[in-house]
Amino acid sequence: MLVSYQWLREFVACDLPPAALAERLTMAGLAAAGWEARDGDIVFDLEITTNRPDCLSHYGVAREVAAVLKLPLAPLAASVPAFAESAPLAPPPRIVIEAPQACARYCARLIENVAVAAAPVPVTARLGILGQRAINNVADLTNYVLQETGQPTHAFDADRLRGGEIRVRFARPGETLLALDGVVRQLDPSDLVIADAERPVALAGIIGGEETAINERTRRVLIESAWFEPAVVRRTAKRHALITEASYRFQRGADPATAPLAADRIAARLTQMGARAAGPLLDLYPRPIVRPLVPLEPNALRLLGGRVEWEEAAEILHRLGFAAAAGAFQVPSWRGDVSHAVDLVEEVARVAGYDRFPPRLPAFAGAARIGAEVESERELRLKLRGQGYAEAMSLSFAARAECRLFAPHTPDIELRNPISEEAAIMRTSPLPAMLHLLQYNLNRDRPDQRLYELGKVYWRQGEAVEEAPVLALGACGRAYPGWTANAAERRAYDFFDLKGTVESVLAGFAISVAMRPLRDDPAFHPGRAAAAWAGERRVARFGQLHPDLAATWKFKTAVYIAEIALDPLLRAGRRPLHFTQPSRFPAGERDFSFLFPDTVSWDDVRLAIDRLRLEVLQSLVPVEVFRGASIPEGRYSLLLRARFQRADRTLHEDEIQDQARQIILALESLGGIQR
Amino acid sequence: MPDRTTQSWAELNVASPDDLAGLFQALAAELAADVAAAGEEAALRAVRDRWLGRKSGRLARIRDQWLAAAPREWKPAVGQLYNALARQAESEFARAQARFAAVQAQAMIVEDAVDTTLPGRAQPAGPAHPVLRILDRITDVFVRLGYSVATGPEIETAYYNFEALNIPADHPARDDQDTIYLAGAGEELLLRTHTSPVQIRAMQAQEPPLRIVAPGRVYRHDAPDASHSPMFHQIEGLAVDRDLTLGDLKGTLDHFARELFGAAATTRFRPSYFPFTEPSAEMDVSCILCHGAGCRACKQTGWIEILGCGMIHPALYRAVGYDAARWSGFAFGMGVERVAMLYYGVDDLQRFYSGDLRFLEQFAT
Repeated sequence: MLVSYQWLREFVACDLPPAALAERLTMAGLAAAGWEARDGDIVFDLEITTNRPDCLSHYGVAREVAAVLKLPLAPLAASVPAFAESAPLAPPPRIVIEAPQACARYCARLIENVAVAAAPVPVTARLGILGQRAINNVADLTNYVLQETGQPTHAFDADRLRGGEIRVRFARPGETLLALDGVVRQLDPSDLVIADAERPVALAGIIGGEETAINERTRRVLIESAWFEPAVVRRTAKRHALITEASYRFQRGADPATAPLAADRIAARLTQMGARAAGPLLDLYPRPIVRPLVPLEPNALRLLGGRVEWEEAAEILHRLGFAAAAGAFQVPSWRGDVSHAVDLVEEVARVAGYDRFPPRLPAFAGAARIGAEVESERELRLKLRGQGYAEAMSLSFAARAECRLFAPHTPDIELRNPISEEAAIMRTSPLPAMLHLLQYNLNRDRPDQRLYELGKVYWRQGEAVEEAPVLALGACGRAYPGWTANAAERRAYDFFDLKGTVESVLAGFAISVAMRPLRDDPAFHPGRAAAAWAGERRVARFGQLHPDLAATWKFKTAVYIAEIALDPLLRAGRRPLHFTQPSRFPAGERDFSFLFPDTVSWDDVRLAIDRLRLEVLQSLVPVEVFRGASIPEGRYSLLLRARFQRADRTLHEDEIQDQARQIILALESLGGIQR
Repeated sequence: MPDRTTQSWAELNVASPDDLAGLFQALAAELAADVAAAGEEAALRAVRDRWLGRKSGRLARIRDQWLAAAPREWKPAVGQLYNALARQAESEFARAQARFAAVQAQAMIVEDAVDTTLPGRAQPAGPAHPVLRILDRITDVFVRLGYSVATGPEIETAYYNFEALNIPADHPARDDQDTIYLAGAGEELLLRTHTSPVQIRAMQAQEPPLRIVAPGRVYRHDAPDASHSPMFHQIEGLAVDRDLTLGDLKGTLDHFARELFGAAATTRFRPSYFPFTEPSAEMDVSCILCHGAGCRACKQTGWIEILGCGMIHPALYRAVGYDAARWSGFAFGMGVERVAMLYYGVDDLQRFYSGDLRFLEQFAT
């Protein structure tokens, strides 16, 4: 809202420097975004909150200035010369309000003898300062009075209204209106229109029609000044995507008392230009808007911490136009936003100034809980960052086609009004977004990446919509950054790097999982992917992006991704930590070197040894897995290290020998050949 | 010189103790010369074998051939001289050995030397996302003040996002929050436009007194650009207790501002409007760049708008079944990206969501 300081001063004798006034208004709730000198005037740019349509005018702002600075406010009146002796050229139209619930008041003035021409300079100059283009005297005066009083009005060419009637009604099916913006609008039966005897001539409170508009031949003008129901105007304005000065004010709530005044002020100005009023103001007010009488208990002021006494509160409210009546206050016609005691308290607080309430830190008898899930998530993030993964973030939306590649069977949640086609659904998998992030960096010459995102996935479960936290990992390039002594050490990030991270994530929670190869997921390389299962529930899938997908996504390098459902992990809680006494007795180690056929997996080896239930076997780990060179085709060499230890005594050499023999036998029964 | 140690006692022809001493003196000199001549470790080992070899070393032969064969009266003298020679041999060899070890250690040190000016290697810790870093910091300030962390769904009902927050259908505030709706659900299901629904959920779940903070993702129907995003983060706070006042709200948020922006930060509160609080306020913080002098970031005002807040509107108490006459409280909410942009001097909101490592790595600690 642009406000001219000179115009403001017509109503209130404020002599503050502009900066000081801007500050006072800001601190009273009318935030001044700035002010500047223009054509010998000062123009303020005020941000008016949606609850204060009464401040969308110079008079409204003047009223605030007067209340805040304790200055007198000039009354706003109009005197229209009494209607001339001669009879009107034609009778004024008959006005019928068919929908009083949508139009509480309709005022009109018929003006004759109008000469449509340029408006006088004082009018156009003021509009010009506010950035408004001059059109003609009639249009400019309606704009002028809008800026002055905040009341939107409309001027019809009375000779183009058919049937001598104005009807305020809802549109009929099939009706259209060629609006002043040149667009033909299909009307809906919930659109409130102003109609003549035959057709809609305006969208009520929003925009006029072209066919009844003022033009240079217009002689008789019907000035409309009405009060329309905010919800009705809002709905229609939204449907037609039309935000006009009029709709902006009506949908926030106009002042029903200003409606006749605005019509009169336009009429008065037009008569000064040689026109004459054809009869008195027509004022239909079938549904009086009654503002409430709001009681203000002294207790209501406790929100202000006893800093404002009731007497001062009453005095502030009086300055704002609230009339006191036995502990209650009559809300003025322009303050449709006030209906409860707390609204009055706010008025008191903002005019008294928020600086009146000294800050203090309140005591609290409760205790803060950060929550196990929040703590788990933070620990998880720290762990991932510790493993070199950068924390990334992507939008929760996705393109359906991309999500289908990663979650082909998940019913997705479609958005009614998405931002774009690429954001048409809520994502059912975080992996497409992760691939986009990796790609973004690859396109910027960053081959070595480790990224993670902690976000959510969303899906439909029958009628219900679901959302759950999910962790995405993405990596490519070298396993470790930095220089190396030789090329062989520049190892690429591989499946086992990813698996290690996935394992360490899972190990943080009190959940036991089984890892199984993942061969049939079209998003993953069938030979380089696995999934972690907690019973029947798959909690993670991870591996190399399927080469076919990598080709479609134009990845020239192997890309590793993981998706981990956090819900089951967070629900299980963090793995409890407790201390076990380390053995005081030395451990014995044995290495075993075997040749195995490729069909024997590490899991086969592990399970074969597990089945032996060797009590003193502490650990069994692969030390080296080797293929090629001297190893025959279809076989691989495996170097295993077993560690034996007892908690109660030192192991005898022959005990270890015996265990080692059992291990060798078990491995040979798998088809292994000791080397 | 012939090797006398191969000779038998008889061949030695020892006639007097002097003869015997001369014999051992010559051997001692020979030993010293041998050790001294060993230029490298392998040579020293050969010398050692020659003298101290267990079966055919010279000392073994002296023991076996001279000492064993010497007549009874000569044995003490031969034994004494033999022991002295053996001791000399041990110590000479140990000394020589130590000399070689020292040389070798020195050589190893030279050989092991690396170019210490080459860059170090580490698996650097991944950086925390700047938005989440700020979000954590804000959360922690309030947790220290007794606020518990609460969460709520991102897909919300119109009831929690609007109605319960005193934003009825057709309320003008709904114009301001361009909402993304779910398809096929009318206006019933939507992506929450703010974290404020968590206020309602928390109050429904708990009786006062309570203090909560609710961080999370929120959504608006805004096309992405340098200052808009259809998704961003908010953090919401709520305190309900007996007799909380506007002063308590100001004190709490003023403390927060100083915790986040430093002890020198000052705040101002100016009236504003939110349907779910009354009285409502915007909190401005003294510009963290110019400290109030006026710059581009604060549009020359010296102040930067940080958050919206206010005393909880009684309509919310009605919605959750609190007794408005008994309790009072305040709420606040802020956009985290906005704070992060100010805090780190980030120019474009979109950088947060790009995954750009050139950007993210600047927030490594």
